[in-house]
Amino acid sequence: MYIHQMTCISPQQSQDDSFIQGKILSANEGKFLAVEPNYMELIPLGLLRRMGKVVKLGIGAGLPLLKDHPNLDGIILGTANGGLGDCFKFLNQIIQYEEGTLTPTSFVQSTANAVAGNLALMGKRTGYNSTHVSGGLSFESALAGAQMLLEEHTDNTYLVGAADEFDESNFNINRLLGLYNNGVIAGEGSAMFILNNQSKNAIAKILDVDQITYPSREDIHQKLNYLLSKNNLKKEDIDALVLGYTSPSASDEWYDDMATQFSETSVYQFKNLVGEYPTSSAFACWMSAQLLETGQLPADCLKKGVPRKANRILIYNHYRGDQHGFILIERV
Amino acid sequence: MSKVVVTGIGVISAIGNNVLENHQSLKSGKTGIRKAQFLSSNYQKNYLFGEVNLSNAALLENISFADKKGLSRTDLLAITAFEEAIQNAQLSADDLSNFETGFISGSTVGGMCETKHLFEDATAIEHPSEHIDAYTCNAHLLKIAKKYQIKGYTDVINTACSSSANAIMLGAKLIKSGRAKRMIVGGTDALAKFTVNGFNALQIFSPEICQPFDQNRKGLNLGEGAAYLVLENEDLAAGKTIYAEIKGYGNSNDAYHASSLSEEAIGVRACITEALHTAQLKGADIDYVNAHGTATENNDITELRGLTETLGELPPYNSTKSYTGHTLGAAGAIEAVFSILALQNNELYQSLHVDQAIEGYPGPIANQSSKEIKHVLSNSFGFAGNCSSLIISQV
Repeated sequence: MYIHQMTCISPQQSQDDSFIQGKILSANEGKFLAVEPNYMELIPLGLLRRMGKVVKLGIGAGLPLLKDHPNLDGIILGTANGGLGDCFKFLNQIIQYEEGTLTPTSFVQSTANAVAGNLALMGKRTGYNSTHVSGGLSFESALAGAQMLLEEHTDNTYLVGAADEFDESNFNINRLLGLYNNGVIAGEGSAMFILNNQSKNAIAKILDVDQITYPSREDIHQKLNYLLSKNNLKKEDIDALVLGYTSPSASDEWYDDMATQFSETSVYQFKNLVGEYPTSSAFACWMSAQLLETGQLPADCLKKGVPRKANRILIYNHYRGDQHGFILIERV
Repeated sequence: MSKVVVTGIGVISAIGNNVLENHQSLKSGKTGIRKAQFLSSNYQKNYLFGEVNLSNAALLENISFADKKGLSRTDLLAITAFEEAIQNAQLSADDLSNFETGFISGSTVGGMCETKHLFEDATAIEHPSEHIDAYTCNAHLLKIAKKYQIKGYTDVINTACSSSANAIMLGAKLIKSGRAKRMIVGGTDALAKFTVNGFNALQIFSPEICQPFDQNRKGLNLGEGAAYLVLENEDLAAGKTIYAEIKGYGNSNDAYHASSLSEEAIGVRACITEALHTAQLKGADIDYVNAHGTATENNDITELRGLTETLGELPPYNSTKSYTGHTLGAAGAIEAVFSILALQNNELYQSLHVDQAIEGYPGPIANQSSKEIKHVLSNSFGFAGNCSSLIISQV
């Protein structure tokens, strides 16, 4: 399947050329928060006022694409946590008012499918609509869903993407879980892609997507070999790796191990620029497509090797060492 | 393309802790909707609920997990139904852990049912509760995947009340496309202060027992439960007990309103039409409809309109939510199991608590009866316009 258009709202200035040209923003108080667009230009004020952050991030990235593709056949999104802010807001109201009479706004906005639902509603899209909430594999699952739909309906076009928001209460839970030990920084963002089977004028081609949960090192090697051979590729056909390094962190060993599988390959990273969040691989996918299309990325992205034009990229990311995702993407 | 067949089922709901008990209750027309015993909410006294008749402690005793710490009620319901389904399909440890077996679940509440702990952990400085890693929507899936070493495709869907119908659809598609040979699919949701207060705020609770498809219906009763189906590629299932085939599926969005369906039943018609198309069936081929039938004013009339416009003459239909209450993300899977029971035994179960049919439409199934059933249509519709239909057929 081919990427025809894409948007990205991230902690970097990814809505224009600033990021690609190397203007890098750094984390603030240990958090990477998204640089948000002026939503007023996009969303009617009455709707905007009710929307939680993840809905805004998703609409902000998705709606411009919907407007450019009015005949879109479906919307497939990944979000690990959906409207966290609204979820905790409603939870606090339940406690504060001792289950009194509450307004339903936060409850309705907190459901994970509110992003895809709002996009369908605003774009009047009555086709396929799904929301994957599979933690660190939510974006990979959305891609797999789209891949199967495009095999069944070969002429269709889909909006596929991911969104997750930063939330203080969730940050505290993740902190207690030890997710931010060793200087790992929390992030958030949304990336959206228009996908179909037409190669003409495409930005990049997503060859395949795969995943595994609770693997051993050996399982990862096996999965990698299976994915490559399924796509008739050898390791030397991969000329860039985009890996989810959160360094310095123990779980980076997974990435070091992956990098040693590809001795001649340039290695890029992205979490030093957007932080760690479950659907960060959607940013990695956007960044990889940029590299394939323009041949350039900011120097901060390069982890190992020399910057060079890439033809075929493997994105490998894991969340908490438990869920591991692979995305293969190549130049058109 | 090879068929996708069901070789194992497991269910827990207000009308029983396993498939057999659920089947008995359906046959005898016995509802599970009553005063909740285990739910901790002020609304326990105002409303009736489809609560599973076991405490968390009792649920814990019945599962085979060695590590019983930090499991939420959503997890416990999921594990109970999952273990019944894999035992029913007689899957070995290797069957479960090879790369070609995957697991997809639907859930809306996830671990948020542990409201008290969630609230405390959100602000705790140190010493998290044992539930700290149980709150996300996919926590139950990760716990089961870890225990049974599931290494194929795993996924959790949240399309509100159509979540587990989409999980079943996606599992069938993974098998059909050759990406997996075996998928365990379904969903789970526990009663939670969070959803009880949410639905109360939306004013869609019935003050009394729910009356799906009654002219004077007053709203829904919330329920809880879990159900899982073992789906296998037809070749893999050779020689096994085959319950049914997942023959068709459709997914659409109503694109009308955040929490109600369009009068024209746009999404409802679209998902039923697509399900018929993938199953290569005509409307008249459907012998029985297990309706979404929440008993809200909006859902039931819209669903009848959508069914009539897509199927032509309305076949026998019921809402088994009159037995279980509305189990949210688990509803699609629980109702898929009930559809399989109807199909296997050629039984039609009475739709309970109907005094007067909705004006202009024939009423739902009024008595326990038998009929040869070849194809069942099962509907699930959710907030944010998410509509899904499954067609489950005799093999």
